[in-house]
Amino acid sequence: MSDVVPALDANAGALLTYLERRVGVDDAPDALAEVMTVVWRRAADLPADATEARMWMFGIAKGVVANAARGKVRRAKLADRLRAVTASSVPASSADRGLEVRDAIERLDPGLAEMVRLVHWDGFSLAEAAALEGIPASTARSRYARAKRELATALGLQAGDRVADRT
Amino acid sequence: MTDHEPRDLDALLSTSAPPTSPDGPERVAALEAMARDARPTRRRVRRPLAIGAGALALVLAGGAAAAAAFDWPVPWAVTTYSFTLPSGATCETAVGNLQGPPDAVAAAEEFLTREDLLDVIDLDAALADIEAGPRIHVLADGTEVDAGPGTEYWMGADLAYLLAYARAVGDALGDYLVAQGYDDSGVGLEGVLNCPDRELPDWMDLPGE
Repeated sequence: MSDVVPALDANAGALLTYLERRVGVDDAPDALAEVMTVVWRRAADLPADATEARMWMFGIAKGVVANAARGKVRRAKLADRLRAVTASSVPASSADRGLEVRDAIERLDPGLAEMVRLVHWDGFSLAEAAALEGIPASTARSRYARAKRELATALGLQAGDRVADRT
Repeated sequence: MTDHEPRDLDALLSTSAPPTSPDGPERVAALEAMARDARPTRRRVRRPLAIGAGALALVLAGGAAAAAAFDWPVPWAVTTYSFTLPSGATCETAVGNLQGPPDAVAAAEEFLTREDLLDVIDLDAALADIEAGPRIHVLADGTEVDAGPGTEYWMGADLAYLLAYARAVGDALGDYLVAQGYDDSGVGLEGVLNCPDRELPDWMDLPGE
């Protein structure tokens, strides 16, 4: 259980960013509170290996995002301090940056879109993204390649995929 | 799509992430505090069922506090049941996350899911036990005063009823496990209580009553 604190300290920032990109800056503190609560509750399952622990926590965050999409993440008092720091910390003008590309990603099949987000927004390798999505690495590669082809078409660009670079 | 710079797809994708809160000392400090504050207190903790002390580790919350504390319905619930407080407010309890030897857990689940659960618990005995105390209230200056029935610090009928329900279910479950030949102290569980129409004080987050 004592390993939870260093594991959270090492990953909380990345988890918050991950959540902010999926549920928004305003709701992310509540989602992170839920993630942290679950991590503590399941402390006995926390992998000892730092990389595995990180993936395990992102797996929990993925579930919380799914709950958030169903309106299941509620305002948490635990998140108040963080909310006070992050609220309104993002300039409104920055919200439009990349909007057209995000819209194109959003129009992809959800499984394809998430591969793009995990790789390009969150910095996961394709192998890590595959693990997080619970799919074989080969499936992740094919989804990623297909996603980029479709995005290149949608955005009027040449894909120029170098999928192998991301495995 | 004519005005993107750069026009490399990889770069476009990588720079398309929605804006996030900027990193900084305050954000880091808030995250560190949150990681520690999220540690299970008795509000959330899964703890052994202390039959000897007459305790079912229920997490209690009411009104807005309930909404903030956990999702409802509770995804891990083995069973849920509802009851009405003396004031007429209704509460719903979810129990689950059982831990322990598989056969003892199975027996506990069997007991908790029986349809007549609320008929086999001894609520009156538990309520009498709650009222018998001792009940102590600590004043701001640290002085301990009697908080039993009839004093100005008495919790009131609704809250006593809530605690009695938790105790009665815990006692009945413990009795059942012992009768089945199991070590009741080896089975842990988690419970939450949702009383949307009844605000509950913070001290009721403490289970073990």
